[in-house]
Amino acid sequence: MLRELTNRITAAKVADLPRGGLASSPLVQRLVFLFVLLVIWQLIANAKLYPSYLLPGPEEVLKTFVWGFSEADFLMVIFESLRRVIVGYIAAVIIGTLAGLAVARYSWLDNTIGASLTALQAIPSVAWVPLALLWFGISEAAVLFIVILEAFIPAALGVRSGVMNIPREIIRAAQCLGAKYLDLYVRVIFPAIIPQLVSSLRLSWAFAWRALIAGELFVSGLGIGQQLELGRSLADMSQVIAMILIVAVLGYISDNLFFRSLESYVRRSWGMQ
Amino acid sequence: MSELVNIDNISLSYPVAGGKREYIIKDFSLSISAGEFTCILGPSGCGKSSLLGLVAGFTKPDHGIIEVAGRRVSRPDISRTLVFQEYALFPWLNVIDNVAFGLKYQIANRQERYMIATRYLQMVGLSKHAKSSISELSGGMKQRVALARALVVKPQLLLMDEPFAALDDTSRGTMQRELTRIWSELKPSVLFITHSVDEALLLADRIIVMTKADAAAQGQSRGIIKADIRLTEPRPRELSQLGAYRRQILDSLASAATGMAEMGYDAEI
Repeated sequence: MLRELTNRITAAKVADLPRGGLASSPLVQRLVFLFVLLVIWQLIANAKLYPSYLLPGPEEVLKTFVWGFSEADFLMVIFESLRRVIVGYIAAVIIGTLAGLAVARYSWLDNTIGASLTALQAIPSVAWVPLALLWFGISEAAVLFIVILEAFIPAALGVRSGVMNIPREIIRAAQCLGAKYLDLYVRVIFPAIIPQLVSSLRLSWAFAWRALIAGELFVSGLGIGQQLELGRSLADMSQVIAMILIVAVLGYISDNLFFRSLESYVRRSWGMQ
Repeated sequence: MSELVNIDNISLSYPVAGGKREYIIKDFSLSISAGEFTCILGPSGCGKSSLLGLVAGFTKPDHGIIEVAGRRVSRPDISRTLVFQEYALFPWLNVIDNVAFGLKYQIANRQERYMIATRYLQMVGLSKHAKSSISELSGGMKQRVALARALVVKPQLLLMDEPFAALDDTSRGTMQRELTRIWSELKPSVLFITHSVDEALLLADRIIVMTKADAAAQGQSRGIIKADIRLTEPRPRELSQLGAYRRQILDSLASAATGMAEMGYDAEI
């Protein structure tokens, strides 16, 4: 009897829960999640399970942020890293797009370079660092080399797969209507692969960021990676965490505010959603 | 009527295991007159679409010649446009830009291109949708756009590969009537692939029933053509009045399918 009553009350409570409203908003859910993470972090820091130089609390990291943006050159650090990643990314996208088009066009290139691209993608960016340092020295060129090498592969594979997945009828219809050679690429093949290309650009950007941080860890000068390395050598964990948070926030902004919106716009325009 | 298309003794094959070749089309000849509406019927796998691909210039025959208006077909050309079953429209372009796509290779002036494209959109009853995106259109509307796009460049030969097969019965009937009206107005030569005997009877001047090359090679027919039926003019438009033609076509199709089944092919009519 009591169990039945309890079940009924539980069922009624579940039924009474609001199905929409503020609680179901993804933004609110994310903010609550972040708040919970902060609380857990603070609780662990307060428990002093680890010394503060190994695990500083949120307040200490916040102080580092305030100091970094007012007294130190965090903005310049971010700017330098962004400049490097954008330059490397643009170069990678151009190289990747051309490589993808070539591989999709010629089967012998697909059998050789195309097959190696997937293998290259499996190599983590940090594995290229010794090679880049030996070839280019401790310089920006080494970082750009690693960024380009990492970021061009998703672009190339995306373009290749995009071209290969264009319905044959689309190409044939265009050929019958007079499109050929470069015009076929400009008016048909390239527009047809844009949805796939945008998804690849998003992936390339993520790879570029990872490669940038890996590369900057080992070279001198301003940069988020170098600040991480500096934090490690000075045992300044709050700077290390601050830098990690900067990378996460920049990644979130670029992915959610730019790439996801662009992807959604393209998919809508191409009638894919 | 003067001869527009001349297909002379063509064969098309692909390599199979054991160094042999499987023939899709073998020693096939056909001529089509200017302004003629020719329907090709046949069981699945008999080579209808391959024939269309050859005439369009997408594939080259192993041997033999295909000429359109006296010029040998070697690659796709704006003089032979195609309408596909799956529309093959360009989703990144709106309706009028889809229709005007091929005109860019014929007319330099953009305004003029749009004027002509608008005229063809009116012809297919879509002038109000000129600026719509392709994703907003129904299947029937998409096929009208594809038809306008193929006709606007004034091709010598319009190739249609089961263009209405993906449409529901109502849209299909409407499109058949529209095509008959437009064809009567413009009189292009049409090579139309279909699985539907009734569709062929409604649209065509001439109906050709094809069968598989290997089956035909046993001497059952001349080439791979099982039947070549020219409908008399003025032809009856009611299906009930076309009973004799219908029976003849169905007999030819059944015979083609039996021949192919004997050869081990899954010959669905």
